Amino acid sequence: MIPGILKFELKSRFKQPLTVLFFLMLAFQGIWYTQGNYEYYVNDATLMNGAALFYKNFAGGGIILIVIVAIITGTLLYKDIQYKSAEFIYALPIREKRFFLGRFFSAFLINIVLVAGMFAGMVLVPYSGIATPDKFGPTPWGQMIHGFLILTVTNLFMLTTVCFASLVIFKRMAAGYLSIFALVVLFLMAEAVSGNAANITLVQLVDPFAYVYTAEVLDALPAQAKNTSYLPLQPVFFLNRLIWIGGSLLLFFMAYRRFSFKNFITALSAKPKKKMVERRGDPVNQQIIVPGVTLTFSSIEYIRKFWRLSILELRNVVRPVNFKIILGILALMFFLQNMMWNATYYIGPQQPVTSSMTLTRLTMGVFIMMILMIWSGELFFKDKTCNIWQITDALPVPVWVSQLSKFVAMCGVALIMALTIIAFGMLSQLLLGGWNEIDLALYADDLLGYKWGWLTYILNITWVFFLAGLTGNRFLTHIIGVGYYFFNIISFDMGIMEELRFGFALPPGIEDYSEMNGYGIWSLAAFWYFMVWAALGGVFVLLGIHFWRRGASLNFTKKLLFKTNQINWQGKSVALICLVGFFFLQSFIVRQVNDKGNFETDAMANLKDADYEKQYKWLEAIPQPKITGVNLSLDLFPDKRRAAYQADLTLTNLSGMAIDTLYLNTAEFVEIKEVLWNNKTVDIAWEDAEMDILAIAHKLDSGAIATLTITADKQYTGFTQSDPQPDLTFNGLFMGARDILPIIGYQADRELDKNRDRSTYNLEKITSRMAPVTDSVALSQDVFSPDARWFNGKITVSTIEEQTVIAPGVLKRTWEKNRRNYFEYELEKAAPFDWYFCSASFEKFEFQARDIPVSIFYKKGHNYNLPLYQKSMQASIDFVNEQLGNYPFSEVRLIQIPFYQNEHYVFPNGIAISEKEGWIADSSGIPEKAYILFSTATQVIRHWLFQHMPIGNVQGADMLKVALPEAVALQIVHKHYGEETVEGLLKKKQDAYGKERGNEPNTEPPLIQADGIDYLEKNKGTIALYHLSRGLGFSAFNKELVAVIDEFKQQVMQFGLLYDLMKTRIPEHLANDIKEDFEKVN
Amino acid sequence: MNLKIENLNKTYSNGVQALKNVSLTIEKGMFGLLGQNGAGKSTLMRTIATLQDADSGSIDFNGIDVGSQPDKLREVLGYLPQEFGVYPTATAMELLTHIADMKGISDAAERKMQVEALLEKVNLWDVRNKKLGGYSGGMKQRFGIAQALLGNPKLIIVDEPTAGLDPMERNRFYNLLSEIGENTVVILSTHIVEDVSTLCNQMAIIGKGELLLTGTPDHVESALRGKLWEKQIEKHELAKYENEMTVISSRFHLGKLMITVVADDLPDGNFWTKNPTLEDAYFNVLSNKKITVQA
Repeated sequence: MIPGILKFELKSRFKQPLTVLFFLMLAFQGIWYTQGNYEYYVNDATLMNGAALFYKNFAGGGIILIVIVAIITGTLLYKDIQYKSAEFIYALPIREKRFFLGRFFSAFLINIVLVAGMFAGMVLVPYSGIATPDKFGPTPWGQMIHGFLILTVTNLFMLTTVCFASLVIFKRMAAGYLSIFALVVLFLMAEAVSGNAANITLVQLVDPFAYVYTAEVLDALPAQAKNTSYLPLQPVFFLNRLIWIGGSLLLFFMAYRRFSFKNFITALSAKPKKKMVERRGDPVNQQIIVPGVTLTFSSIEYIRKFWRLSILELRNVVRPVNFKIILGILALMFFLQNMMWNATYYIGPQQPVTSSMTLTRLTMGVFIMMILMIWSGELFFKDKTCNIWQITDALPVPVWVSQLSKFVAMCGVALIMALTIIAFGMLSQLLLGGWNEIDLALYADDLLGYKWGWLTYILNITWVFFLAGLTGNRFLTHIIGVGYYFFNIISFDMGIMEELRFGFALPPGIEDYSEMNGYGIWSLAAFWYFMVWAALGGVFVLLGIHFWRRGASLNFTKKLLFKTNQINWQGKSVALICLVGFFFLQSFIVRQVNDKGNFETDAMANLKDADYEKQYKWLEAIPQPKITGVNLSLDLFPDKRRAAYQADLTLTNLSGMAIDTLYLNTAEFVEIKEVLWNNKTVDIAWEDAEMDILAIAHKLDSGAIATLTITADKQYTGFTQSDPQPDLTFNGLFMGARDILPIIGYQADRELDKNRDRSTYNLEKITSRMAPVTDSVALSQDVFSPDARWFNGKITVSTIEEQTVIAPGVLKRTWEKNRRNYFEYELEKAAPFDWYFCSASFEKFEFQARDIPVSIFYKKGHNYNLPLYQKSMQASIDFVNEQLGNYPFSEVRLIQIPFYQNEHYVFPNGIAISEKEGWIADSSGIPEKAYILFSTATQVIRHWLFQHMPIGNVQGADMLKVALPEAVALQIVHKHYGEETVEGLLKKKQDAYGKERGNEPNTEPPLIQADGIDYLEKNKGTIALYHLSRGLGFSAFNKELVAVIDEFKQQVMQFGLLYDLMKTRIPEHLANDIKEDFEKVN
Repeated sequence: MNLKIENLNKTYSNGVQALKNVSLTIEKGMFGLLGQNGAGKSTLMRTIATLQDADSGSIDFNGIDVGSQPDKLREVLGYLPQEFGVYPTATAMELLTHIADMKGISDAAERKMQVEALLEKVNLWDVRNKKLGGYSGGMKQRFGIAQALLGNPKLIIVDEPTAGLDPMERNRFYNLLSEIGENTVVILSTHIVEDVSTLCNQMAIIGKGELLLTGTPDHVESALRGKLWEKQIEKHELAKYENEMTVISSRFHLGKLMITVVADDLPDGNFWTKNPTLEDAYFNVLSNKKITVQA
């Protein structure tokens, strides 16, 4: 019997044209996702048909696969109920258990065959024309079959089982869909939190598709191995499969045992009917007179009716038990997420601030939106589904009343959803002791507004409303609606699309809320993006009404005629106005975002950088003067995102030959008002505005000194879609000096440093991102500013009255003038030209560390960990004084900055730490305390190191800039929290290195040739240097460090000097390990 | 008060011509539209009820052009479709109140009174607060009649209202419909001849999209008077009689096959005269149609 059922089901499924379409869609997905994965693996050596890319496809499955599996699987068992054929099929002389098995294996087999379409798509990738032939290698058949079997087939078994079991238990088709979507949501959540999860193993186990495991393991593989390796199967993989496939098997047996015709057929009448008692034998009461009524059909009555109907429809949606169950599940998920997972970016849990609570709307966003879209589709087609349309469509109410009321009802449902998130966010805050952190305005902004809140929900509902009218088909509405939604977010997530103005209802900056700066410029940007989509949403609603047809479906093309009276001429006019508004707002955004230079695609940016290199590489060999002094007068206008400044740059010709032309690279958005050469006006001889480079023709003899005075303005206009423009933002602007001052000569850091990009733009591949130590020109340059030497400087800076400016140097004086605050800073001693300025509204906390005044500037309310920062500063300065030498500054300021840029910055007398690094961390645990000490100590040690050794702009520079301060800082952690805590920190670094090295775009260098790539120096570099210091002994290491710095204090330092010296001091039994660590790549 | 249909045509996208040049005038009272399954009755009903567009032709009800003023017609329409569903979680009271509101009864008190009266009228008062999902077929059908009567419609269309009902339920319908046909135009579409013969004072027969006959039931019946003959035959003889005579129907009576034949004179001595019924007329029309088509 089972083979008979299999044969029949397969035959009837595969003779349908829709099945062929499904197969082709999956083949397309196989190609599409492979391209996305290829973009993610940036290494030049990674092939587009590499095994790792395919493994990820097999594990992730993709949304088309999920939708198709959801459509097909449940139908196999439920169709007899759906089409009422159960009445006779179940009465046939067949065994019900075998029938169940037959249908199950049919569904499983059909799923496998269809998903083989994705396999076929992947095989066809080299022939799809999406890349040149050199991007492809031989098809990794073995790995593909391996991945298909251990990932796709097992996941399909799980999906099929869960769907069947849900149907058997709940006897509702919706239960089958929801069970599959629930697994997808769990997978999406696991994937979303995997980036910064404290316990990645747990996340890998929770992920039902084993995607997180697969991605983690594959990401860590070297580039070449990604092309050919089989997926390494570690115990956690088997445990994952044991949990999910084992669990599925149990579920399968449960469903098998429970399934019976007698039980399942009760689904035909959803609930056992209560026997209704009615008076028989009294057919129609002849005596009853039906009273007459007055009928009203006025416009005002239609409006009243519309509201009454809206409320009725809302009640109809929220009244059924399944709504309450789904809302309850969602509420529980919100609650658990808020209570259990609210990690900061870099360390463990954080205080229950409102921004952390509202983040739930993003992590759960996909699920919420999907549920709302499906509910919307169901409601819009409710009359058809219930087969009451022949009655309701013949009623004398305009379409706009009946349909718009459903739309409004769904807006009400969405509001309930948003309010539920708010309620459970606030409840979590109360339970976590953060009642004083409840920020109602932020709740309202995030959850009731258009930043992925209620208004975003409404936009997506307008899309479904439009589709419902256009297609007149419930199934198509669901598929196209949800399908496009996923296509939209995945396309942007994978970088296939970049311009947000093409992503319906996607507002910019929603993931980038700053505790200090709020949404910054994104508040404005999000408003205009919302307006664009709201205009289109208006069109959607009106066209949804216009296209909606009463009665039997019409010819599709007839719908497109505008000769209907479903919306009157005013409605049509509004639709037209909205459409014009949409295009107008689109062009407005193009003007504000693109034309004003606030955004360019990656391809455009890369092309520009490639052109710069091609056109101006020759400048590298042209002698240019060095900056040897700067006096800066800077007026900041954060509220206007503007800086006005005048800088006196002292230029010294150290090249040994006369210079006749000075080349200046100006920062973007800078408008130079005036240039003086030794206080005399000088003309700009030549300018390439596209490349932001200009030339001044003025002779400077060898050894001569001149003063270049630049008066300029920098201001951002318009708004941005992806760049927070942190150097000029409203509260917490943080800018480097080079964000406003020009760079002299060739700007090498503009060169493309990924070999894949270089190949694309016909540039020669590089072997290293930095010059070798044998490059005497690079070695003579300071790594912080290759066009400058160390010097003293003076900075006068002003800002708006409610803000304070922190700048390099000691604070000489402050004053107020014209409702502005002025500050005068002066460097205590010559320092690298690596200056930063910050302007924000701060609270201040002061104390002393070894008689050095320390001020902590922090956002009001973020005072949770001030005592910890105080202790950390004191311990760090103590350590420096005891182990290295006197702390170099007479006063120091520690400031909180927005998270937009790096985690930490140091500059003379100043340390800046990102708001997500510990200010609002829940530091009750040792690891969090240790991390705050570690990050603070690292900056204090940087202060000392950077004031004592000029670092050459060559390979190994970041070992001195990044790894060395961290390795020494670990000694302080070791002293206060012990070796175990240090090992915990090192473990994180080891994990990060292991994971991120796989995405090295070129070739990973050994540490002695480290060339400034994120994953290397701060992880492997720190670990290696710490082990070196352990091997030598901390004191001996520190002594040698001080000694070598002292020995080479008159010249530029390079890491090799330090390493060579240390190598001679380490015990012989460690020599080999150290060599492995620093000189080899394993 | 009348409904005038002129030259109505409708062809579906699959090529089936559901209505072929249908022209009909229906006056106040009960009008029966008889036809086999698939004859085009429901298409005609849906078209009159504004739920489907005709390809050509016109429908006019008391000066309302249904094609261009469907909203106007809906204001005076009561429609009970052949098959319909309900919101399973709503009660009869709730759904009727909602439909009454949609029908334009804006005064809440009037709405309540009429809904309650109709619930009493169709004998659903006791179960008015029960969910409709639990209603039996007959109860649901009575609910359908109640909703069709809301708002005192001037034109009532009931499409196959007695299909699948037991005799008692059918009787209830007869009683109800006979009451409402006094001051309105009521179109009863059915394939059950008894429905028409019991209730209607006007009728038409439709087959394969064409209007085959119109008139009053009496007139239709009397047209066959003296031309109907009946005979008891053996089963195997049927083909022979069909070849030789116009056999319009055959039925079994006490295990024997009885045939009804149309002829101007007595076909042979073993036939006896039969008093014509509407059913005979119906079969005769269908039979003629079959012959016409075959010809």
